[in-house]
Amino acid sequence: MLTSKQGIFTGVSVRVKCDHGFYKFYPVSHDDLQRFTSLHNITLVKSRDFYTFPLLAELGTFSIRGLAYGGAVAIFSFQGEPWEVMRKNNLVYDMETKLILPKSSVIKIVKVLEAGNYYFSDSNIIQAGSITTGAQRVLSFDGVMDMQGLALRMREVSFV
Amino acid sequence: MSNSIIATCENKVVKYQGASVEEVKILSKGIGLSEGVLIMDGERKFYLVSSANDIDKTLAQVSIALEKTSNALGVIANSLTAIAGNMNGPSTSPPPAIPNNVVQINQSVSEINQAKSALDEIKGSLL
Repeated sequence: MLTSKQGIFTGVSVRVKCDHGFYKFYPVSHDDLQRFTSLHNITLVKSRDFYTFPLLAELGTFSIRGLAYGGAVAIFSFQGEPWEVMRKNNLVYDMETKLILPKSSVIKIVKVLEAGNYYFSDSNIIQAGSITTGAQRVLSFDGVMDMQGLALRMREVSFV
Repeated sequence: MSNSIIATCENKVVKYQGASVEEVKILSKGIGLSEGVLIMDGERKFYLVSSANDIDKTLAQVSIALEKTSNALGVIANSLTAIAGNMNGPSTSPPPAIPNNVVQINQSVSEINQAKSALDEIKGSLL
């Protein structure tokens, strides 16, 4: 299920996009990136036109059933963008352990609330695979980090 | 954008780094052990046998078979020459080298058959 809001991406600092457990960060400036990584105590590396976690930047574009994919065991042989391969194999990046894990292993609870033109949650950056109070898993979202209030305003959230 | 990776195939099972790859369309019979290319494009997977390696092996085996055939024919020619050389007198006894020549000819026949078996195996991989 996908829910969308429009018109919130003006004057943003860091856009945060999560595709099926694959995180992409789009800072407007280098200062934004430094402040963002410092505030969240995370390390990001450049990959294509976005920044991401080091492990995600190294992912290949295919998986073979029974072999490791980013440290996790793939359950399907599939070719595609890393986030497509992760989706096919039900994998997400876990920000706490810095590992790629089956989404079913994520047991975090997250609140996703609707507020005017956007959605926000009680988590700074939602851990993909987290379960909402409505018993749905958050797999993807697209939003911007409000550097003042440290809140992630999302225009899209998708659940499974 | 697809990915092409080196894989093997035997008895219609395609393997990559020892793991069986599911639901691969094999563009040959895939019975004999072969090395080839696994092409992946989303859900779709194809296996193409690598003919370059097999052609190399085939030519090597053909070369061996021809060498053995040439050796065998040489032994036969020497043997016939010896027989002809012995036919200038009243003696009817065969030249003493004949038993040894027959052994060499039979050995060459055996080696030619081995080369043929190797070629048949390669043919199985190509199918």
